[in-house]
Amino acid sequence: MLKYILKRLGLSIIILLGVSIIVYTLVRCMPFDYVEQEIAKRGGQNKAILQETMEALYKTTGLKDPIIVGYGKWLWNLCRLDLGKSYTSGDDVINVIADHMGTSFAIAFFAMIFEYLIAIPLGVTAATHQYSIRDYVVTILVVIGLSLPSFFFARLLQGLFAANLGWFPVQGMVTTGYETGFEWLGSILWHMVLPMVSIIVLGIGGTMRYTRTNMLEVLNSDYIRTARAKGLGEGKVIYKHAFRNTMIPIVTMLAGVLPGLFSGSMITEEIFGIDGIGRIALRATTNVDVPFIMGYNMFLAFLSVIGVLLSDLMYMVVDPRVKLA
Amino acid sequence: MKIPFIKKKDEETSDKHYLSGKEIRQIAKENNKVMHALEKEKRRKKPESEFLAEMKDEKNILEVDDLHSFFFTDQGVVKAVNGVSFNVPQGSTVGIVGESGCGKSVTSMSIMRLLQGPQGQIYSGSIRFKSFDFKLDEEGKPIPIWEDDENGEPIYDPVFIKKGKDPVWDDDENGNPVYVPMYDKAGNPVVGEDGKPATERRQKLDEKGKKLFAPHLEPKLDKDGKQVMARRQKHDEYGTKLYEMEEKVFDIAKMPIKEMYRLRGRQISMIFQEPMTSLNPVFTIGNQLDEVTLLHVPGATKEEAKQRSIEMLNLVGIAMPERVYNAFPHELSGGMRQRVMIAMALEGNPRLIIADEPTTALDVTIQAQILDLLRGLKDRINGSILLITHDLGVIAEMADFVVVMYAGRIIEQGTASEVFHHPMHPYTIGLQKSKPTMDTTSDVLFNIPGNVPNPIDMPNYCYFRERCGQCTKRCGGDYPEMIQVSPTHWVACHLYADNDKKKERNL
Repeated sequence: MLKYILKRLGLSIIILLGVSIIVYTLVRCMPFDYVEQEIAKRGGQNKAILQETMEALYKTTGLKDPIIVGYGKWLWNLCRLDLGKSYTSGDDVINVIADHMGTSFAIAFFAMIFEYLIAIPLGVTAATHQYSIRDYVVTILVVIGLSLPSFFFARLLQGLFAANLGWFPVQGMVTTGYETGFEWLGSILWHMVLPMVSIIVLGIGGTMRYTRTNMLEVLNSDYIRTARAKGLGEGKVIYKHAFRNTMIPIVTMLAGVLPGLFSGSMITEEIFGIDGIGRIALRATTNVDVPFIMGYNMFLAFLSVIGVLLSDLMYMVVDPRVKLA
Repeated sequence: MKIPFIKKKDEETSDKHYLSGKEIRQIAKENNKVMHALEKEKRRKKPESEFLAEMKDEKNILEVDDLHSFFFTDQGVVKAVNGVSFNVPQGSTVGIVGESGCGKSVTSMSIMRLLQGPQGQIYSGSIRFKSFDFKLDEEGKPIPIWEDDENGEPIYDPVFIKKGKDPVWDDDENGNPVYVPMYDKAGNPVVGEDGKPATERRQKLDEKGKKLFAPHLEPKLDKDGKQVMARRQKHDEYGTKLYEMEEKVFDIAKMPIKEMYRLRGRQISMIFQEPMTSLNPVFTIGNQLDEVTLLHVPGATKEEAKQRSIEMLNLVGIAMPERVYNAFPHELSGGMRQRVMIAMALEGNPRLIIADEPTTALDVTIQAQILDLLRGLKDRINGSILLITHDLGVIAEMADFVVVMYAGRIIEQGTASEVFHHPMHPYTIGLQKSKPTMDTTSDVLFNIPGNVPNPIDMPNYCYFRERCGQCTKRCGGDYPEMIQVSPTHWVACHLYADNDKKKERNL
């Protein structure tokens, strides 16, 4: 067991190396770089000074180096556990990620819990009442949620419930003036309602459809017929015999969920003015902040690898037929 | 309620092999009406008097009477079972034979009310079953059978509750404790405070070499601190609690699904044809077996259920029941799984076992063992077996009565010897000819030409006409009636409509 995990972790180092090469090459292949962006911002200044600044910036960032050299340097620094300093903020990349991850994680975590709590029962009802009105209504609503683009739906919520009705705040994380205590917590929760709703509604669709399909497949299997032939009531048949089998493929979805928990949601955070990692990542990308983009993406790649490993281990817990060696 | 038939505009269009979108929508609409009505009826709560019935013959345990089970599809109504009547006498084995798609399995599923709704429905007919169920008192609780001493006085036992666990000591023959040197986890001897090697009392070990513990029992006390006593209930040979029983006849076709739960598994149980997929892969065998006892015996404890499950596994000839009890289905072979299925079917002590092609997926040696097992069980449970198969050899081996089905109808039925020695319907004769035998030297095995027709829009003449080698002019007429050729032998064929033909056949 331990040997298996170690083997998988060893393999993942190769995967991560590959990911880092691809990401670094892609970032450096962007048609503009950080220095050009920075110079363009200072448009009106003296040309000679600008030239000087540009050269100085190129020297500090090393963006004129060939890609291979740049990558080598980045990798060497990584080996010394140094992800470099973010160009835009000047802080260590690790600190930037650590500072903003908490908010994004909290939002994503609670949104995920709600999402599963709503989506799985919906999927089960839709499957057990296949082709009934209930099934159609649930499926249609959920597919609408699935198809809405997040920027549109978030703006819609913001416009309707914040700007027009005034039930919720338009943007931000907490009302100024509250520092601690229940009022502070309440204020945060109140600010989080719209972003959470937006994330949950958009996310339910996939999980619900997945649950429904799996449940239908399981309900048609022979062992469900056996369970009914034993005299078990419909509730026991569905929630004991079918549900456990339905959960087996849903466990694989955990692999995708883990990086999603920490990545933040770029668009939603930007629209609702939440100071999360998604928003920082979006800005870093438009500014071609190479160290941050590398650090952020490697962090997510690492989480993905761990997620896949975890889901394999979870498989073993849920399905007695799976033995890892 | 009318059966939704597709109305053909004129004779010319009836030949076409496809349906237009409009026709499909019309069929779907009509089907929906009927399906909804039937589904509603299934869920409707009704008093017991509505589905109580009476047996026509007291010797029977099951009487299927003019059963129609339909599937409502967008292509039309599939009449999978179309007017089937047969009886299962107490203590006998009845075999249903026929090709694939004859409606054998649908008949058995109808008896269990396991047809997949809303498409599959029992449309009409009755299935009378003599049930042997718990007698209930006024509060709706089953009445236990108490164990009395010789003088007829009730026996009371003290009640214990489990609390923690006690080690099980491994003492010598005289019952004196044995002390052995103590070792720590690394295997080094432990030295006591006095500098001598420390000893501990020897404890019994289980199979894996772990120390054995037993639950610690503490007497249960009431509020006044007195020992709580419980009256001793009678148990059967497997340690399962006994209750007073009564006989009732139910019409299964009219029962609401909720009421069926107390028949399934307890009164009628089923062995399916696919042992490989019929057990739930994520639960242990023990878990799945115990479920039946826990469900059907009121007040059964987990220990009682386990004891019964292991007894049942023993009964079906599993060598290491304890080990199989803790195993998962994928760890067993096909034959073992079928044995487990049979054990599961026996667990509820049913009066009728429906075996739906129990040996189809197994190799011949296992097949023989399983058949032997089934035959032995029938006497044990004092019940009947309804055996469904397409294997005539299995039927000849097992059955007392044989029902031959074709395209959703019974075309011949009689005792096993009548059907095997004097088959009358051309289909039965054909089936027997297509069975490979050792004593003939023919290169090519006989087969009945063609397939079972798709039972949508069946014509109103003998369904076997197109495939029959002995077709006469009369066969173009109405569907043949059942003709009685001996007190127990019936056949639906125009060939035997006049008595001369019967004599010709030497009956």
